[in-house]
Amino acid sequence: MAKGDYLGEFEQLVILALLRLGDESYGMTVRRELERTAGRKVTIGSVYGTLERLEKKGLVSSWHGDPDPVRGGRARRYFQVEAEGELALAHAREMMNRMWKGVKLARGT
Amino acid sequence: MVPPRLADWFFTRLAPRQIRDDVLGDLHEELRRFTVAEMGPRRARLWYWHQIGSALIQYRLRPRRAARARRTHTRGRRQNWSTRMNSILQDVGYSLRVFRKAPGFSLIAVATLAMGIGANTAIFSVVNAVLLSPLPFDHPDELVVVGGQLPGIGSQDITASGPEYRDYIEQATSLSGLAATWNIDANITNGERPERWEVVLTSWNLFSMLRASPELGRDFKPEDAGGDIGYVAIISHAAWQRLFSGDSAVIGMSLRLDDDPITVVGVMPEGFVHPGESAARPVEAWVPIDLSPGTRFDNRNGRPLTLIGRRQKGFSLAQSQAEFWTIATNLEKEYPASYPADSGWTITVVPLLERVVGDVRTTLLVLFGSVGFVLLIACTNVANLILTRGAARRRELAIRSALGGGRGRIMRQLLIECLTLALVGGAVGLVVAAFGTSFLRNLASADFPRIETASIDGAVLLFTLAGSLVATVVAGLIPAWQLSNPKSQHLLNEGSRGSSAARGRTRDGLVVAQISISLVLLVSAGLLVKSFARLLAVDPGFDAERVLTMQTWLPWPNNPQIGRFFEPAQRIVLFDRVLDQMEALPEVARAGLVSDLPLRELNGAPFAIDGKDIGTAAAPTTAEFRIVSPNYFDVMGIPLVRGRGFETNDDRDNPPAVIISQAMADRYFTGEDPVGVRLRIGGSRAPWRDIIGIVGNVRHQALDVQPRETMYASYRQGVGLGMTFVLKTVAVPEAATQQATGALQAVDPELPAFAVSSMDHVVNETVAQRRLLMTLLSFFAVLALVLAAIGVYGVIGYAVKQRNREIGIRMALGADNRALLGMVLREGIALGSIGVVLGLVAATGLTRFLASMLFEVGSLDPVIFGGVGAVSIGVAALATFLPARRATRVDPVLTMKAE
Repeated sequence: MAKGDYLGEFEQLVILALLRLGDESYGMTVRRELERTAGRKVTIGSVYGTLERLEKKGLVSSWHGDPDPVRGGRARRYFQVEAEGELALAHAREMMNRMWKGVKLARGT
Repeated sequence: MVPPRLADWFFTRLAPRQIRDDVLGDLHEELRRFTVAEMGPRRARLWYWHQIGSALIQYRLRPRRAARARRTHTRGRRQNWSTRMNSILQDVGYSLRVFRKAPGFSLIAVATLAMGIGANTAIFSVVNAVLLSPLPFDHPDELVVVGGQLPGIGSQDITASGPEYRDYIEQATSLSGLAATWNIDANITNGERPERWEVVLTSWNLFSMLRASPELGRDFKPEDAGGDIGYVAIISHAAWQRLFSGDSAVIGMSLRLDDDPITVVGVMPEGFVHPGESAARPVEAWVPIDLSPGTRFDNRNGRPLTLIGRRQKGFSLAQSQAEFWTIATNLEKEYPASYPADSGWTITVVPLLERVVGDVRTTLLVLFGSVGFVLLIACTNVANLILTRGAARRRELAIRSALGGGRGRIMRQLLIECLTLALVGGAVGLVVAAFGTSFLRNLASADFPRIETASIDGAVLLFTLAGSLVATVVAGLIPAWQLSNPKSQHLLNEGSRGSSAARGRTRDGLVVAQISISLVLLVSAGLLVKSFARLLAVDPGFDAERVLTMQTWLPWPNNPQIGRFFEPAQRIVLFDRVLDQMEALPEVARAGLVSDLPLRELNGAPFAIDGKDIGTAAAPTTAEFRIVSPNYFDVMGIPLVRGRGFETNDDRDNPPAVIISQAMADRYFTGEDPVGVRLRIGGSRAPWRDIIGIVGNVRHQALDVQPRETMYASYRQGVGLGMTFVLKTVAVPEAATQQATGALQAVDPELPAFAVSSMDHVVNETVAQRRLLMTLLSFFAVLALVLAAIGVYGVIGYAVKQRNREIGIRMALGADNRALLGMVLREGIALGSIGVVLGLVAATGLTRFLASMLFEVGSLDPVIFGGVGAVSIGVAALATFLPARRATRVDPVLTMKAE
């Protein structure tokens, strides 16, 4: 794996959110999931910025649903994690695990 | 809750297409389904804006940086236009962050620039309205005024006579039309109260030549001007509204003008302004006059007519002027008696705009120049601020440079920071200018041409923008060049505490420039203030205190014989009675009368002295001539120098008497006693009068013009139609206005009282323009001095901070406070002195532009130059003193430890 292909922390969080949300993964739910579960203040702009980047790398894909009046007649853009994405996420976790091995924090936690 | 429309509008315009609907859809859905319920509508709205704003930053600013980094990587430094634009946007964003980090700096810089740009914009709005904007006529650049010049006898820009008008029309091919006008005023007695109207007598073709037409009724026709003065009139929109309540049946109605019935044939549209008309004296009516041979205008040497013409297409102003020179030469040959060779007769063709604007041009240009200097100083201050900030930012700049930011790139960043400051300063400056413009409109006197149209319009906005750009370059270029210099960053990076010598010199240079510029302004203001004081100190020859002046005019119908005041005796009786009525008022101590009020009207009359050979029949000598009441000299405080004043019995039953002024006695009676000598006012048929006395000189023309020889006669021996009452009042003059008007109209209810004002006001009006220039220039000069003082304070303060360590060591080595104070003070005073010397040199070159506006003060007045120089050094010393005192409070131990 090339150096540039490691996932950043926020990218990992976004992919995890997609996996948790499953069929209900679109911009708004991802944003809310990140706020609720990860406890991070996130703007819709940065969610899309990351999702688009991941899509360009081929890690996620997206498609449009039906138009919805509550959205001003606009369609939802659903996202799903591709196999490449799951792989990259697994790599990231593995890397962290390797690094954590043998580490004991002196002050507990 | 409906999502904020404006936010959506911004987003749809600025966000990239591919995510626009997705993001908006998500935001709408979340807002409607959750956010409003969770936060309430107000916070939800804020949340929405925050989401939109950060998404825009995300998509419009950040990716560019990444994209640019990639491109620079792969394609070297070549950039296309849009990348460059994006990186500029990025610089703007960066600038805003920089300013947020240094709010004090940004606030001062913006405020300084706002003052500079605002003052410039305000003055420009006036320059634009008065000098630049075209006159409100079709193709106004074609309009000209054709005037005569008689330099040989000291008459410039004179008007024309009826025969001249006819000759010009016949001979000039370069004009497509030429109209003759004569502004008079007349009594209008239609309404409840008599009014005095400004009326333009005109050739029938005025409106067609101007290409204006009435909104109601018709234009004049050639046959309207039958007789001497026509019997039809076109009235102004305002007069129509006031006198006829805007009734459209006005056409065909009758206007009673000097007791003559005149038929209204038209109404000019609202906003039509007669050429040269001032807001103080609006033109109310136009009446056609007959200028053909045999009419009252048939005297070649009587020149009441202002000629306004339109240049034929294809003829330049120069060609037109050349043609009129030829016409002048022809006329000179044809009528040698009217145009004697030594009079130097010639005809000039001047653009109408130039004539309308008149002498305020110089005033405005001087103001515009000075306010430009203020902006220059403001920019210099900001340049200094940026340099000071630059020192604090040296690490950041060094990092940028180390990361490969080229000098050009860093300069661009700094210039964009400056541009951002200047644009914000310009925007705030517009607010300053809006106030400034209305302030200027109020400050200017009512006869200041065209100033009432001054406002913040498109041209003024463009000017503000241009001002901001100029400020960017002036304030930003030097600091950007200095700060982006890799060498100086290198030096700084070594952690050396010594100040960079080069930068120090730049800052010193800027401060010196500020001081010298502000000195030029101060000297100019000083010269104006001194001449204004001199002017006010001039003895006008009369005492204006508690004097109310009020003009009236007796009607003079076209057929004078049917008039109520045709016989001189009728007029004398009338004024006798009015004066009696006025003197009986408790508010009035004494009531007098004069035909032409000093400083308001001039009236030169030819005269001859018995037994003296002065002047010729063709070119008689003239002197000012006034008809007065016997107590006029007493009311006005004009002293009797010799002989006696007029008595009540100096009337038509007794020999005609005349009183002359001291100046006249001095000039024509050197070493003799004029009293008893006979003098004749007017032509050879006029009666001889005995000189009975000599009175003091009065400045009739202006405070800054030497008094002219003057002759006075008593109204009881003959009086004209227009007279001004001068009333010595018991209390404030204006308080007696109503009673005085009442006294006049009690005698004749159809006589108008107009031009009512205190004599003090009359005097003040004559110096209004000087006062305006002096006030504004002084304001700008003080502003400049304050800005320069801030500049000195900043530079010295910074230098002290830089040298804290050195000062600490000196103190540790035993230097006492006074020595340290002296050391820093010397530095400030040295800068101040260099600035003062340079400024004085510049001022000697520049103040000559003021020379025409100075009175009894030379443009190199040593007192003003010396005084201003001393004040400037003093202010520089004061601005140095504050930081210097701080230097003495340095704690040596602390500063050494800080290393």
